[in-house]
This record gives sequence, structure tokens and C-alpha cells, in this order.
Amino acid sequence: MRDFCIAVIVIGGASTLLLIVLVLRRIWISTTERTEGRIETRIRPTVLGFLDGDIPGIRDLTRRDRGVFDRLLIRYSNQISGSKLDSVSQYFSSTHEIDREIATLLSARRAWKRYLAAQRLGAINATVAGPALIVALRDKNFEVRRATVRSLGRLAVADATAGLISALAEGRTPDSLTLWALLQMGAPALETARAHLANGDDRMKIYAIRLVELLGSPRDSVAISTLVHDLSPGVRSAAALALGRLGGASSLTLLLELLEDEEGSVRRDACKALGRLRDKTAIASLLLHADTDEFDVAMASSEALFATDPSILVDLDPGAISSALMESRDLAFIERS
Amino acid sequence: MTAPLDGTVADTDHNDHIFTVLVADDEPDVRELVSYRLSRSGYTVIEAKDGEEAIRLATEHCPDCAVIDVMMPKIDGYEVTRALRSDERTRLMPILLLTARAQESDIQTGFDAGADDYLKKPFNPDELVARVRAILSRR
Repeated sequence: MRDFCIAVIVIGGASTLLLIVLVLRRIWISTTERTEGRIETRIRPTVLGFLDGDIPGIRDLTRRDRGVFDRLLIRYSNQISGSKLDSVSQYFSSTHEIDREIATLLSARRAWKRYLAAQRLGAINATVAGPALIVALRDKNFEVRRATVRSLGRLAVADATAGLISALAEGRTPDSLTLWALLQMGAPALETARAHLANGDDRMKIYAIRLVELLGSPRDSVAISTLVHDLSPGVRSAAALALGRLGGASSLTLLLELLEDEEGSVRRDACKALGRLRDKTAIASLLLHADTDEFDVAMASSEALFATDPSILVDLDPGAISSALMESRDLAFIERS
Repeated sequence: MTAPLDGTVADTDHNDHIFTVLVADDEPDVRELVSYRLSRSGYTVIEAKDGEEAIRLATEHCPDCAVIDVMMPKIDGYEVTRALRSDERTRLMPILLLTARAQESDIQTGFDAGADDYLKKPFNPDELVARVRAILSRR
């Protein structure tokens, strides 16, 4: 009985103590938030002024003010682009914040710390962080890699292009975000992509083609042409789509050839590409492929015909065409109108 | 003419009327940045936190120009633009869309809705002022 009473008292005491600690912690957090909120309101014009070139405004700030100033400056920097960001990176370089963030990105044990560091380095325009960000493309955490890609794109780190293409091919980073980041790099990304057109890895080759399609010119269609007979259907499809966007002298002939490919997905993408070229000499072949039981191919073909010359589809005699062609024609009208 | 804080010449019309700009964005940081930059350039700024408030303030105050974010709660920027274009009081008001969605189709949707110009997020504050000045001068 005595032991039971002691146990009850100990548990009760511990619970009360825990409750007091939690209440005090809550009060401390609320007070800190309120105080920092007040500081934020007070120094907001200073931060905005700093972004506009008023450097002297920051001299009077206390240490605590500086902490809030830095956070606010990072938040604002995340929203803007252009030359105003130069003063931001100079400021954070002078306070050694960039060095600290790089160290956190490369060595912090907690993923959220690495994530924040990756994000901040891009927001504060820390171009010197390029090599560290390239390393972070292999971080074990997906969110850290995602933040890293965003920052590499924001900073347009040209040296990161090979790493980004390989991250895409290995599925380590999200497709659309990584392609966006590569597009921010412009010419250097295009050079790297051209070099990877001959890569032994099919996925690397596919993303290299995609990038050349987005950044290249009709001149690049010569190099892409060599890939329409690749053993991989994925590569042939990507090459077809790229030829449709790039154009070039032999693109039409090659795409018409691809309409006879053994893979349905390649025939479908060849139809899509012909729709991009809008060359009327492809109409007869497209009509032939619109009249097939393969839905994807028929649909892509009808859409290509619609893009090339909608009157062809309008003038089709409903009594003389198959139900497959009629369906894809109607769907093409719905999609496009 | 009013002398704005940044030392440039304030934008006014022929009667020295200081232009009023409506800034609509649900992100406080963006709203503050845009408002600050425009105020420094000599414009009077009114702020809206969402699409609904933007339409209300625009019809109440009839500003000379509006800078509207596309992705906003309640009513998005495209809808706000359409609403302003269909109201007699704001039909001719120049509208600049501020958008993180800068794909060709999104831009096209913005122009179809009646926007005069667009600016991609993250935005260059100097470019924003230049574009506002340009669309106001075309009125």
C-alpha cells in the first residue's frame, strides 16, 4: 500500500511538472513570436529599403533585430529576381551566413535543416554555393534534392547541367522542376544535352533529346535524325517529338517513316510530331493512321490532321469512314474547340 | 509633380494627378514588396488580399491601374480581370498580371481574360515599375 501511494505521488508529481514545463514552453514560444512579430513590423521598412539600396539603414540594428532582419530578407529575396539580389548575396556573404548554410547543407544530420539550407542558398542568390548544391543532388532525402534543384535553377549554375540530366534519368528529382532548372541555364545546358545524345544509357539519351527539343534550333535536327532508328522505342519516340518541334530539312521524311514503326507508342508520337510540323503533304499518311483500331494512334493522328487542316476532318463522309476514325475525329474536335 | 523617395520623377497625368495602383496578392511578402516599390516611385497604392477584395476595391476606388496575382483564393486573377473588364467603371483600367504560371497557355489565358501585360514571379522590382509606367502611359 505504501509503495502504491509513493508511486501515485511520483507519477502525479511528474505529470504536474511536465504540464508546467509545457505551459511555460508555450508561453515562451508565444512571447517570442509576439516580440519577433513586433520587431518584424518595426524593421520591415528597413528590409524593404535595403532591397532598394538603403544600406545605411541596417547599421542601427541590435543583434536580435539582425536575426529577424535576416529571416525577412530571405523571405523577400525568394520573391524577387534581378540585380537587387546582388546586394543580398553580398550582405549574407559578409555575415558568413552563406558559409554556414553550405556547411548545413552538406553535413546536417536532420533532413529539414538540409532542406532549408538548400532553399535559402537559392533565395539569397549564393552563386558560390554551386558546387555544394551539385553535391546535394545526391542527398538521400527527396525533398532536399527538390529544394536543391530549385536553387540550382534560380542561380542558373551552368556546371550543374550534367548532374541535373543524370538526376532526371535516375528519377532522383521531379521531371518538370528539373527541366525548368535546366532551361534557366540556357546555352550551357544545350551543349551538355548535345553531348549526351550519344550516351549509352537510354534514359540519359531520352532526357538529352527532350532538352535539345526545348532549347535547340532546326540545326539540331541533324543530330536527332540519327536517333530515329535507335533500338529503344523510348528514344525513337523522344526523337520523333523533337523533330516535330525543331523542324529541319529531313524531319518530314523521317516522321513519315516512323509512322510505320513496329511500336504503337512511336507511331503515336510520330503523329503528334507531324501535327506540330503542319505539313500538308503528310495528310494522306495521317488519314491512313487515323483509321486504325489503336486508339492512341488514331487520336494523335486526328489531332494532327486537325492542326494541319481542320477542313479535311470536316469534309469526311461519315458513311465512308470507319467507326474508329469517326470517334477519333469527334474527340479531336472536342479537344481542340 | 510629387518627388518620390527613390529620387525619380513621380508618374502623374497631365493634370498632376498622382496615379493610384491596386495591388492584389494573397502573399503578404509579395504585396509588401510591390506596394513598397510602387510607393517609392510615387504611386498611391491600395492593397487587396484576395480576388473578392480586389474587385470590391477596384469598383469603389476606380484606381488608374491594377497589379493582380493570378493564383489567389476565392477568385483567381483571371476571373478578377474578366470581372473588371465587364464593369463599366473599370472596363478601361490597365491590368498587369503577376504570375508564377508563365507557360504559353497561362499567358494566353491572361491576355484572353483582358490583361494588358504580365510579369513572371519571382519578379524584378525595377521591371515591375517600368511596366506599370508603360501601361499607364498607353492609356
